Amino acid sequence: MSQTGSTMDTAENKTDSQLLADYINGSEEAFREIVGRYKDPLYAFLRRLLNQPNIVDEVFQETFLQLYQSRETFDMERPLRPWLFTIAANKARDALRRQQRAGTTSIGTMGDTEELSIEDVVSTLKSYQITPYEDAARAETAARVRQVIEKMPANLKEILLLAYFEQFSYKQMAAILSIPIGTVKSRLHTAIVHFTKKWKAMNGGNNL
Amino acid sequence: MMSLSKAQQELLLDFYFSCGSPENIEQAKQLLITCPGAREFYDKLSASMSLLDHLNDHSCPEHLVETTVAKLTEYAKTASGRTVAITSDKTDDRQAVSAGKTTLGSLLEAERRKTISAAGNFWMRFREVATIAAVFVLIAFMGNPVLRNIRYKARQTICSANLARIAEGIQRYSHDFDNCMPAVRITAGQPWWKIGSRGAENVSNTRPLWLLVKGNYCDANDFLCPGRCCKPRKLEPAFIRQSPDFPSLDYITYSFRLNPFDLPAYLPGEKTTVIISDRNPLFDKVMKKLSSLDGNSFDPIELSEKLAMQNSTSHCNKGQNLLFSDGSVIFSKTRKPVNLVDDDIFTIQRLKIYRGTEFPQQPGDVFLVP
Repeated sequence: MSQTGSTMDTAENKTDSQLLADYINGSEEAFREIVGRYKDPLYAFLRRLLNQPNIVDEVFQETFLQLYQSRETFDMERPLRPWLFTIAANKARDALRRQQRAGTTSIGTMGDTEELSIEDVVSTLKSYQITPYEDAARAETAARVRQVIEKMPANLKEILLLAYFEQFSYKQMAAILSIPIGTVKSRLHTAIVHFTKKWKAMNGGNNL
Repeated sequence: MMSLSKAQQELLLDFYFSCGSPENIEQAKQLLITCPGAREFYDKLSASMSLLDHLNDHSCPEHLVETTVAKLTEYAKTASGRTVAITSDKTDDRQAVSAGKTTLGSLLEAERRKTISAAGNFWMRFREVATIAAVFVLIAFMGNPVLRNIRYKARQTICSANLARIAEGIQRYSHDFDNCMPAVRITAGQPWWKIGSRGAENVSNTRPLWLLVKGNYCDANDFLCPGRCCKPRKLEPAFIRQSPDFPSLDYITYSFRLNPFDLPAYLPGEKTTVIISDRNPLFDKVMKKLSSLDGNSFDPIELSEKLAMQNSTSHCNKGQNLLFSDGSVIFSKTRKPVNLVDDDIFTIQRLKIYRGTEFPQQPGDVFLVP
């Protein structure tokens, strides 16, 4: 019985909010469990968004430190995942701004409008064949997709990644990015048009 | 494609991202069933978005988790320590107020107590003087052989760390590119010494390594051995994006394996071959003379007895750091590392004269250039 009881008390069996209570109190076990639970999605998001391993590491660490620093203002009833992504997105934007000031990178034009509709753009694509079967061709496609994503304005890139990979709802994205839901929709729309147009331009419009 | 209204497009977009209300989801489903244009739109949208699947799912490295937890623990300890300190200060204040000591007289008394004593001043001055003296001693001993040796060792260690970072970059690159090493298609007979060439054709042997910089797998300064170059060099992001190669030999002080065979696979865990080393000493002089990339102005080099023995000049001719295909870095005092069975990494087997265009004829013949 006692053995079962102790197993139930381990960090991995606790809910996020139970863990957060321990996290706030400085428990190393809670730190390890929360970092462990969210490390992969958070790291993958930052790698895709920033694409610079050294900055990604820095932002990753800052995100969890900020979670601890803002422990007194955190509403324990709120789900942890969107809150972590909110911090990470803010920290990533700060890192990009710092880099821009240092003149080492450009965060791109913060575009929010695209005149074409999604239909206008997708209808000009000639083929549905998007997954090359050969490994070499797939690697080449991956490199080109990365290039298009890298050149996208930061605000469009982050919303596209949050919607496609993290599958946050409009409401959650609005909270994460501190923008109204209407802006989330229009920005996501712009991001899709932008990505598709640039992809088409890079590939001469022959294939997706 | 049949034209859809803006509302219909938005409905399908919400449906695609699973962001609509239950009613909207039902409407979108109906639209997809009844309207061929909607189906076509949805299929093309899905196809366009699925390109994003090519962005790899990076998993978080374990060392980052450990560092983050360590920093959090450290921060939590410091933060709680600070809280205790603040609390105890407040307690003292409260006691002082209750004791009625907040009069002007008591404040002056406290201020007097704060006065730095003569003894404190002495130690402060002593520290300053000692620091300045230490700087002078350091300057005076700069030429000392012992210190020279320390500097030499430090450069060797930094160089080895550079290669370890390059190895990490190669590992990440190969993870993204189906276990392939960074490589470009080359044709035998091309001038591998033409670093900085802007043509579409791959010639210089530094282009494969440039892929690591271009793809953000490595920093450009990782390619500078401190034994040759002390100052970090800054490359503009726009240049990195557009250029097909390092700007010149000044930006890369390492030699890379010249491989005219099939695109090599990355072999984690197998110390089969050397892939990068400190710069090949054979071509040091001739490369310094090259002022222009135009024309084949590479003076032929005959392999003398001295050139056949000389180590890389990056570390005072004492040896060279070698990066093996398993990611390990070793400082080798000879040009024939044990596991390569008598192969000289800086020459082609049985070749005496070098014109800057030769390629090894055997897959096992390691030749690191430029």
